Amino acid sequence: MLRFVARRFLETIPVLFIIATITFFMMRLAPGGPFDAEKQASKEVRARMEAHYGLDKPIFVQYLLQMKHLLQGDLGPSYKYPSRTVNEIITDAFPVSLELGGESLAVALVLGLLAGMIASLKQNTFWDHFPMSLAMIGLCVPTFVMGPLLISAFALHLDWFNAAGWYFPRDRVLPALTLGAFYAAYVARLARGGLLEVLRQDFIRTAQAKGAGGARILFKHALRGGLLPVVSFLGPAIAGLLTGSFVVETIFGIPGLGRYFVTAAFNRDYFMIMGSVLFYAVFVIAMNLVVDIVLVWLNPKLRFE
Amino acid sequence: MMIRNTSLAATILALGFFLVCGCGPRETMVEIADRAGQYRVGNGGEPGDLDPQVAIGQLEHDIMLSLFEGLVYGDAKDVSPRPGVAESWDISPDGLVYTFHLRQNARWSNGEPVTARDFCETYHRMLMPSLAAQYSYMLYPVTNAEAFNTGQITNFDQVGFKVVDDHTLRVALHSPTPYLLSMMVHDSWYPLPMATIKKFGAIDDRSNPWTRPEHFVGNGPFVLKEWRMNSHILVVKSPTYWDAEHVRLNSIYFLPEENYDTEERMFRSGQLHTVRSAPQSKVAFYREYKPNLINIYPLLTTYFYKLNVTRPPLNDKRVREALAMALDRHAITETVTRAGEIPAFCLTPPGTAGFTARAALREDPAEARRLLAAAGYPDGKNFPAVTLLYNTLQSHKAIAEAVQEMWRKNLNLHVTLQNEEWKVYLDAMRTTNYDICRSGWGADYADPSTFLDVFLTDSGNNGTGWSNAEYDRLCRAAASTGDQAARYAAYQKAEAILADEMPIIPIYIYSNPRLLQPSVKGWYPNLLDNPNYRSIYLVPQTH
Repeated sequence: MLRFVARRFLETIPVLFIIATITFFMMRLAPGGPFDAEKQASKEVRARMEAHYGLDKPIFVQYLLQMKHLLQGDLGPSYKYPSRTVNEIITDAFPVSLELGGESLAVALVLGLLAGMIASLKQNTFWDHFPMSLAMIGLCVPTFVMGPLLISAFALHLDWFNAAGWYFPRDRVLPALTLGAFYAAYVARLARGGLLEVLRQDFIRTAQAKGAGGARILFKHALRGGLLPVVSFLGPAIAGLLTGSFVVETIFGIPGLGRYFVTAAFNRDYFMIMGSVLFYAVFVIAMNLVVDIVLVWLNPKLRFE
Repeated sequence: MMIRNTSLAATILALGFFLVCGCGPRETMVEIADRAGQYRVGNGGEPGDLDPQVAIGQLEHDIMLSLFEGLVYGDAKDVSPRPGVAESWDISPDGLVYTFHLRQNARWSNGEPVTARDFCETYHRMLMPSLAAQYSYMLYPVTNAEAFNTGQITNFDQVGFKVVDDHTLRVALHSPTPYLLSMMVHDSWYPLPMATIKKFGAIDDRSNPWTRPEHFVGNGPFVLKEWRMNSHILVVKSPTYWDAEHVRLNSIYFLPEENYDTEERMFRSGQLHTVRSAPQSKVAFYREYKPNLINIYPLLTTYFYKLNVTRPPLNDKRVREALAMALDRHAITETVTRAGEIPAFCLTPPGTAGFTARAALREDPAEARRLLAAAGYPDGKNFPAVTLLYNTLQSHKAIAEAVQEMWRKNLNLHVTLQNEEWKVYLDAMRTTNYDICRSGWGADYADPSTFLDVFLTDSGNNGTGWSNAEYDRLCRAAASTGDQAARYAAYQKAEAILADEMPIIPIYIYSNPRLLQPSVKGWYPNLLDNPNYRSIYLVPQTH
């Protein structure tokens, strides 16, 4: 296993290098720059600001300089927020996204697994059709519709929650539901499918013949194999929950990293773009590695290779 | 069966969780804040910085206004200059020397006195070329300020700021500038705590972290207490402020929400006292059903289209005039924008510091057709392909579509619409790479010069390729005379040249639909939309 992890780690280096290079040149190709504003600075002021940040140097020199700083772990300054560094902004904002992602994942797993298990055990009854129809709705309704709908119902009409913000524990509920709903639906369908397949297999029939009860069969025998599709989905799901939270963070006014990921591009905040792209890249790669390890652990047919 | 019981228990648990979280006190944040004297403001976005010499936008301005005070400050109702740190001033008969007498009791939030030296050092920093302060030009009326800022001279003693004693500052101008005090209301004239700035880095370093709450020192009615990015900024009443006894709010809580719809929902759920601008789609609803919550008032901001005069067919004055004359501005403000905007027929909003342009363009489709025919395009025939560019936003799109239709109907012209992302649009405008593009200009201070100077040949914001020597001469002449009548006469002529040459098509004067809770008192609309934290107070509402 150690060799497996070490090899994956080594593979990561060229991947990150390529991502950094592509990001650098793509953002420079986009028209407009960090200092374009509604009220444009004079030519002199603009030139001096560019000089201050080294944007007056030839593009290839800038590229090498940035690569050098990246190797040192220095993500650079933010143009949009002059007194902050990108490292600082990410350190500040990522825990918020992480928390939102974690809570949404909990929503997704609790609701999704529950619905999936019930549906698989009660196949083709009301307890199958009802949660699966809900799941279908969850899959179809995009977050930018789900969010305002939930706010309208639970914040503005019932007055149970604040309409937006990230100040009190209760402020977590609606965003986590909004973001988690889609994944809950997906997990429910995957869990149902996976479990149904396992429940039809011979070893389950053997267990039944031996007199094992429903709970014992589900938790002791079926779950481990039945949840494999869910686990393989978790890698991309976690990445999605964390990177895809931009919409939810915007609707609910949450100070997470997802917003910077997108607004940095709008602001042409070059270092911020590079920093958040690389940060997410590392995160996604790490998550996929963890999922691969868990998969091998769950499924004896797989090996680290 | 056991499964059923487990899942049932889990379901009940989950439901219970939501009910416990959900059922809380019915009191809203605003009601709690009313009692605590905390004004909760939807600030429209995260400020780039709170250093008045580095930050440039309106939303930064709105926060800095609570943290600093200049020699003068803007009156709550008409933004006219009132004594701030300077309790009085003398102006020499020729209008060239201003002597400011500073209050003995003006203090920084760390208790140190605010002195004339502080102002002088602050302005030195503002003008340092290495700081690259975008608003340094606001200090250009001062003798040699421009020369120092552009590096022609390096000795700051030659610049017209002089410390007479701790509480007397003398400012010498190169030419009389009757609107100098109005300019001084702007952020660029605030004093800064130079000793504090030096403590945290080079004074000309844009990235100096002195504005962090743990470092911050200011001289305004409030002082920075907390700043968490994209979450909130909390400022609390400053005990050292000279006029603290008249400040009635205990604190202000700025929520930097940049999404208009989210902000409006926060207002509706009682999380905010005020929102700068209601989303356009909600204005009609508030006007109709909640008129006590919305305040619509005009701003010194003009919405117009820029025409690229370097490209045919727009290099022909008659074509530009035809396009401008063929619009029905009342139809646009009454059926498209619908938030109380005022149709504009010249660049400077009427009544800007008492100036109303006499030269105004006419709306006359018949004359427009004649001009277009004279330019060689009778009934729009052979008119080259022209594109109207705007930044991606629903409201700009609606206006552009209305304009497109008016040109089609009145002139038989087919203009293509094109929307671009903000920075792409700005880049196109800066490099004059467009045919027609949507634009707007808001006043930095209350004087026609803030509008008319935009179309000087060397202005960084002109962007139309238009240049007129006589126009430049008139604006410069107006800037160098202390005779208000002569200045406005020159500006009248400048407006007449604009109306005749038509490098821009004015469309309307902005109005701002601000949302305000009924508990907010002492708030007044003003043309610069300066929030007046000094006069605002909160009265808890009884149900």
